Amino acid sequence: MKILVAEDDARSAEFMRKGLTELGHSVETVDDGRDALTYCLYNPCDIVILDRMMPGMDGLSVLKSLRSAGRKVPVLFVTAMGDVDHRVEGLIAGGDDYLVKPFHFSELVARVTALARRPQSLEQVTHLTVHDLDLDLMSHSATRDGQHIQLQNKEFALLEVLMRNAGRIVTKTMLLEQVWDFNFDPQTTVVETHISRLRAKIDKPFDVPLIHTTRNSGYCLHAPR
Amino acid sequence: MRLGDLTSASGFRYSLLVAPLFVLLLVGTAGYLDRVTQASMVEQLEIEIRIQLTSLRETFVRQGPEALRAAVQASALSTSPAVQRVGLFDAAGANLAGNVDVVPDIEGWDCFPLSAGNGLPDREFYGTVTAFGPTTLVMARTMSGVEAVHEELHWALMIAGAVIILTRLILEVAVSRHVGRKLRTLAKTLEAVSQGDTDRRVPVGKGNDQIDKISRLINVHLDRLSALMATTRNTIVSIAHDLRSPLNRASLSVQEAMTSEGIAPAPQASLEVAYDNLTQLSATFDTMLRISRIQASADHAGFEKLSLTELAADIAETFRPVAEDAGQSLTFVQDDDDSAVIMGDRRMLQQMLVNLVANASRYGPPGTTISIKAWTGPDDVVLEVADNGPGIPADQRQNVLNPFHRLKGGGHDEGAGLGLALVEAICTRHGASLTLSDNAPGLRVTICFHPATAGGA
Repeated sequence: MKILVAEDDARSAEFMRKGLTELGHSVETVDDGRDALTYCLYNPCDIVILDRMMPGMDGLSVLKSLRSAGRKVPVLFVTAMGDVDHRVEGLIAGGDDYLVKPFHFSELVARVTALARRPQSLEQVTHLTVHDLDLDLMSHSATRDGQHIQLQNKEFALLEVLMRNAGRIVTKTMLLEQVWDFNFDPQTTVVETHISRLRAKIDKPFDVPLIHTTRNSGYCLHAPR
Repeated sequence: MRLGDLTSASGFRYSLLVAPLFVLLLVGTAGYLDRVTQASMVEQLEIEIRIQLTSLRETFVRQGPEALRAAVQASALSTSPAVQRVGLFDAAGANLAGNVDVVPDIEGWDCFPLSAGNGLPDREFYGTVTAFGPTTLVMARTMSGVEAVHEELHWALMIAGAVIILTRLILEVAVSRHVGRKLRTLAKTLEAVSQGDTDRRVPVGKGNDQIDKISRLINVHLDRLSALMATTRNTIVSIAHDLRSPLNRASLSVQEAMTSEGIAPAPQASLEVAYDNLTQLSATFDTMLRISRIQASADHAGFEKLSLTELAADIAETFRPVAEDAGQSLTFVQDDDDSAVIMGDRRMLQQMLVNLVANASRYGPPGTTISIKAWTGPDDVVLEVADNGPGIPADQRQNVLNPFHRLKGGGHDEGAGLGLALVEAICTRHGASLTLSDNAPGLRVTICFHPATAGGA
């Protein structure tokens, strides 16, 4: 993927560049907001990693300009300004995701991957299927290998997020945000517990496990490789 | 203006105390006026009598007792007996002339009753008994005029007194109401400010009375408060950036080192510890910033109508499995008819409730029961989280709300002791009261909100 990293802190920018390049992406870095805008307008870009506080032009303004120019490129904010108001502001302006510094690099990777493959338009999907697991979003039911599985509300929501991101790593933070709408760390094993309950229902009774844990990163639901 | 407000107004109370004094003064003045008038009128009577006595004495001296007798008789006939009486008596007390029956038993000048004749009751007369040689002369004038004036003055003073007192009362009520209104406006403005409308200022009247002076002072302070809060908010943003950047760089460096090729287990382990600590530091810093931000702003901009029952049910559903895995039980009894609606910030309240439940779970041993309750009371809406774990000793209950305070024997080092500080900040922001009490055994946390229909936004 072609990734633009707009970050005025040289250390952070270099770290991201190195890490993402190692994963096979093509990374360009800029340290000024105006350069970021110019680059996006004239160069192909799959994803933009944007710092909010930059010299020249701040991240929010860059985003607004991009969006009003009709550019729909996915934008991931990476910033020290992490309170809810700033987050909401960034998302309302057209940002696609918001990551607060400091962050785990794996978190960044997971979100970048998720954003890049997100369909540009919101398709109305009624079914999600991975291997022999089927999730019916209309009737809120789950079936695996033909057998109906009884899921509680949160378990269903959790499974839905994992399946929508099938094949990609979903971090704990992403799950807390998307399943529980928690923008904070509850300091308890909410995610782990629910994953384990989910596993007990959809993995254990069957031969092939679908939910995998990646140490220090997160979870990934995928068919056997 | 309710009677209670009226009577509690300090001005009114003061004047109620002073009123008896005032009435006393009024009565005293009236009494004095009465006395003076009476004395003056009586003096007038005396003068009139003396004039006639002088003339009679002259007659007696120049022309003898027979002339005196004739003069007395003439005087008695020439003046109405209702107005003046005169009588001459010999040494034995027999009547020689005039229209007085008997010598009154008085000394000097005095009042005495004389018959009005025709069976009418006696009337008061004022006069004197004088000796003219061997004879005795009695002359007196009626007190009826004086009495009449006394009556009228009496009534006039009473009415005047009543009017004065009434006028005073009315004026005082009016002033109290006016002052009361001003003070109420003051109170309302201050309350609005404390509820989050930090741009409100107290209206200052055109007159320069004491309340206006105080209002002006209050506005100055409110300006300072707004400026202070704005500065604090800006400082928080600056701190966020300035402190997060080095934190971020440290975190990245450690991550880089941890993932470098061929790293030996020992440095790897140390790096992991360093990394965990950096993450912990970041989380602590995050929470501190959150608390500061909540405290630096008082507005209810992000507030919406929400149901505590729904919120609690949601959190209960989320945490029940977590509690069960720890061998604990979590209950939430839902009353579908009572949605316990308040005005609040959903995210803040969510985090608050999560903190409380997580605390209960973390500090309680296996077997602990945790319960969440939400209900609408007569004048507030209550959220309660209770457990039967170790609880918090009474003397520590105030301290635990301080940032970074750790319970002795808390054991676990997740979190830096900011959880309850954040809970308190969120409660204050919502204008809700927070009470920690003994659940006998365990801890009961009770939070009382304003109902959605009153106050709030």
